[in-house]
Amino acid sequence: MNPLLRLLLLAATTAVGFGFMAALLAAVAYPVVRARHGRLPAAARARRIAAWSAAPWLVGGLLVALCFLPSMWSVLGIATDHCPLHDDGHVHLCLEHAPHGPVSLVEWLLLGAAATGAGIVFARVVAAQFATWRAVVALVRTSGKTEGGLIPSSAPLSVTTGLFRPLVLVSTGLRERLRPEVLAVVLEHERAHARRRDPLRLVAAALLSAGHLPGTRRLLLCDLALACEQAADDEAATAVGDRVRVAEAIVTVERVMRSSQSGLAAAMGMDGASTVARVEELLREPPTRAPLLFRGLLWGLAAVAAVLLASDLHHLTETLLEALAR
Amino acid sequence: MAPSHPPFLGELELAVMDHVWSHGPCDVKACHLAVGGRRKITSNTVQSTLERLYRKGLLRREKVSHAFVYEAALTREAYGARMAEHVVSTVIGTAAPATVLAAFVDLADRAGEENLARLERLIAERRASKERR
Repeated sequence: MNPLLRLLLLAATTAVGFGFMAALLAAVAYPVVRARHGRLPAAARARRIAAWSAAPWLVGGLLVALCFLPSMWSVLGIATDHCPLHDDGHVHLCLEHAPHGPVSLVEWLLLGAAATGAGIVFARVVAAQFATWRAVVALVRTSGKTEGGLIPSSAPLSVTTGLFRPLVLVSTGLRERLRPEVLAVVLEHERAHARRRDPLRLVAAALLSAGHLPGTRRLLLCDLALACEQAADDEAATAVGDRVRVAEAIVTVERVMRSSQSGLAAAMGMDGASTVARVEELLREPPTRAPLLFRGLLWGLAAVAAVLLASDLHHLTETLLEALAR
Repeated sequence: MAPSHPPFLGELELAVMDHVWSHGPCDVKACHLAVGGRRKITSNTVQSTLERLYRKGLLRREKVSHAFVYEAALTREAYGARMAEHVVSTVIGTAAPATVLAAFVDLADRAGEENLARLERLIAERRASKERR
């Protein structure tokens, strides 16, 4: 096998292994960490949950990069070549000495399982998004001849849709049933979604979270959806200058949806959990974040520790890969 | 069997429906004059579009003299409402919180009366305490 291809396959196997470990760790750690997320402002929380969604890919990629760091120092002439020290024919995660030998059955199984699992989740997400997108396009077309984003429908509906050029759509039914000051809040909230590109953020997280275990993935996506709503609420509150007014608007629209005679008066699955969480958050004092300097210092320390541990990680990973290859 | 969603419309179909919704009943000739002229399409194309919309259940027709006169079977608002309901049922059907669509309130989950009353009380208390300050 071509040495470069062999090296890439080995790196991919290593990344899958690290990613799987990160997913297992996240399954244990995320339920604990999410309790602390409530202390963050919604916009920061949304960013953090999005990063958690991609954690298996990020951690897998980052640790593989760290594994290659010793050989990179050697290529750059910063450190001496360490491979001859243990040239006993075992697997090399090295840019200078490409690994040799065939791909083991365990490696193929690991790569195959990861590709199949991620492929199934990707296909499901794409199919679901395509169905929604197709319905939304048809809906947008009916509003084509009316003034921007106004859907000619008696059903009360207000949404932001579109990945790259988000569009705010409000139905005539909702506009007629709301007082102008409530409608202004609804529009500010939807514009905030468009500015923040929340539909894109949610779909990207749905795809990237494919690396997590199903339970963790569901939790992450629910939390992200709520954080995006609350971040849009915060921006709407800043725009109208009153958090309580946004809370009132949410309850008013919830009542309109409940009383709607159309099919939009949907099921009461979780007794409006999202509505309750949003209103309660708006009625609390807005949380603040730790200073940027403090967060920067923490990240800096983590980066230094990672670089210092790179050599140990490299050797440990090579030993594990060797054990797998036998 | 009735389709699970309202019929989706192509660009020409939507233009024809727009004309019927705005101007009321029309025959092929009138519709071709209004819609076909600027598109440089033949009367036959408009006729087949009207026929298709009739088969989709969006138009009704009646023979007057030798020609069919078409009228909307559904108002623009009723069609829009069905499309809106279809969007919501699609979002609910995906059973995933993450979609290409963000709604002002959760489309799939309604709050109960007790919860709403409690939230309204909280809002009133907060409003009162703000006004006292």
